[in-house]
Amino acid sequence: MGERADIVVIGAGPAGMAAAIQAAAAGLAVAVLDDQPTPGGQIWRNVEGAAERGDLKLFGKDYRRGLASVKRFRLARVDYQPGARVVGVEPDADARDTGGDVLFVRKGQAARLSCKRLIVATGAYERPTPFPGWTLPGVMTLGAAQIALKTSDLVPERPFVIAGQGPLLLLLAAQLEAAGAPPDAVLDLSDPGLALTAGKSAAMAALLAPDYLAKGAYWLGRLRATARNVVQIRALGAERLRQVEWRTAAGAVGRIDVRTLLVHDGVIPNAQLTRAMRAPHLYDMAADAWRPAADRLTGQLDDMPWVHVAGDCAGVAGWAAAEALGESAGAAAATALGRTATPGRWSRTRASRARALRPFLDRIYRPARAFQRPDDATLVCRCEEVTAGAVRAAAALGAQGPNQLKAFTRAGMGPCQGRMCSQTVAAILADAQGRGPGDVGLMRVRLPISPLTVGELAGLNETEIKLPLS
Amino acid sequence: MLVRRTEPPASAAVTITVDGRDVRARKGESVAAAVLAAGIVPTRLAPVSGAPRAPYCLMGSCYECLMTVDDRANVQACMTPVKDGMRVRTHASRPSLRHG
Ligand code: FES
Repeated sequence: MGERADIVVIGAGPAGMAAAIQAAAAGLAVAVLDDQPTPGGQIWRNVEGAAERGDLKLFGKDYRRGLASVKRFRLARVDYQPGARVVGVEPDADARDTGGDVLFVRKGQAARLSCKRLIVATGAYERPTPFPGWTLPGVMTLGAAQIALKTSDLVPERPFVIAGQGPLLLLLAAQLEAAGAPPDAVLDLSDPGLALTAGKSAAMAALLAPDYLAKGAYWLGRLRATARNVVQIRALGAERLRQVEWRTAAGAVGRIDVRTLLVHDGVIPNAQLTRAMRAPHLYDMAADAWRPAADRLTGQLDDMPWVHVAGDCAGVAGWAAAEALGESAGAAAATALGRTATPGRWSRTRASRARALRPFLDRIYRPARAFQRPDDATLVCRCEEVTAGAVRAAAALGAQGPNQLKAFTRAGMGPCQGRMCSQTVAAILADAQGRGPGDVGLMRVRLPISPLTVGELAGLNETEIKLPLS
Repeated sequence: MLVRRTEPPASAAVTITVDGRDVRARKGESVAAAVLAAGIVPTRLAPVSGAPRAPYCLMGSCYECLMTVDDRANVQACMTPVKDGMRVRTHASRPSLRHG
C-alpha cells in the first residue's frame, strides 16, 4: 500500500470545509472529495458563481455568509478534489480502527485513496414525497428548483405550484418571488393545526425560519394570498404534467393548470455511506429519520473510531451547527493523530444552540401524512415501479423485514438503491406489523453505493492515487 | 420545467448537443439543468411501463437523469457539468434496461 493521507473528508459543504480547514491548520495532510464541481454544499451551492453574477442578494443572508467560508476553504492547504463520486469505503482488513481506503470515481476513472481517519460530511437530501403522479416530467423537488436557480439562474416555468411542508417552502417561495417568478399557488400539506396558513404559526416561522425570513410576517402575508391548506395532491397529465389536483380536509377538491410542480417534505440525513459501511444507526423519532450512532460533538462513530460524521448527515441541524460540528470533528481527528487542535471557541455554543432549537422545529414541521402514507396506487419505488399497494400486499403475506420485502417486490433494487423508497417501504411495513419504524429498520445499502461500470470496477483494483501533499 | 431568467453572457455560454440538437448552456451548470431548460422531456422511459420520466432532484439522489454523455452510458446528468461540444443522448427512445 502506498502513502496514506492523514485525513480524507467526504463532502465540501459547511461541515466538510470546516473539518478540512481545522485538520489542515493542525499540519495534517488532508484530502477533500466532493461530488459537486465547486465547494459550498447544497446550502452554499455555487456561491462563488452567484457572487460573480451579482446575484448574492437574491438568496439572503444565510447564503451570502457562505462566501466567506468558501474563500477560507480555498485558501486552506488541502488537496481538494471536486467532481469525485465516492462509491465505498474499505476499512483495513486487520483491525477496524487504523484507517482504510476510500473508493471513488473522478473524471470517469475509478481510484482509491488510503487514509488514517475519515470524516464523512455528506449532508442531507430531501425526504422522498410519493404521491399520485410524482414521476411525471414537470414534477420536481423544491431543492432541484433551488439548485437550478443558484447554479443556472433558471426559474420554474409558469404557471407553477409549490406543495408540501417545511421551512424551505417559505424560503424558496420568497427567493423565487425575488427572482421575479412567484409561485402561482402554494399547497400547504402540513398538519392543519401547524399549517403555515394558520395565523399563529406566522410568528413562529418568523422566529425560527432562516434569517432571510426576519420579515416573516411580510412573506407570510404575501404567501397567504396564494396558499391553501390541503391534505392530498395529485399530479395529472400523460406525457408531462398538465394539472395539479388538491383536496382539503373538508373534502373540497380543486384543480390548477400548471407547467411545473415543486414538492418538498423536509430533509433527512444522507447516511448512505455509513449505512453501507454497516455502522450502527439510530432512529430519531422526532425527526422521523435515521442517523449514524456517533458522539454528538466529535462525530466519532460508536463502532468505528477512525470514522467521524459531521453536519447534516449526522442529524439535520442546519449550516451553523454543521460548520461548528465540522470544526470539532476535524479537531478531534487531528488530536487522535497526535496534533494539537482547538476548534473555534464559539463552536460548541453555536452547535448546541442550533441543536436546542431542533426538537421544536421537528414538532412544527412534521412530515406530511399524504406523502408518508401514500395510497395503494402510488409508486413508492420510482426505479422499479413498485406501488404502495404491492408493498402492503407483500407485508400482508408475511415479509419479515425491509430486506425480505425488497426481495419480494424489487422495491429498492434500482439504481437509486432505495434512496427514494426505503423510508416509505419501512413505514408501510411498520404500519402493517403494528411496530415503530425504529424497530423495523431500513433495507441494507450495498457497496458500491452508486453504480459502477465494469471498466471502473476493474480500474479500482489497479489504481491507487497518492496525495500530492504528502 | 425550467426557463432561463437571464441568458448567460457569451463568455459564460457553451454549446452541447442533445439527441443531435444544439443546446446552449451556462458554464458550470449540469447537463440535466441544460436539458430541462431546453424543454427536452422525457429524458428516460421507465423500465416496466415505459412511462415518461425527467430529472427530478438535481442533486444525485433519484437517478432519474441517467443519460449517455460522450458515449458513456448511464451517467448521472445532474452531477455532470456541461462542457463545450459535449454530446448527450437521452434514454427517451426505449425503456431503459433494468439495473440490479
Ligand atoms: S436528477 Fe436526481 S439523480 Fe440526477
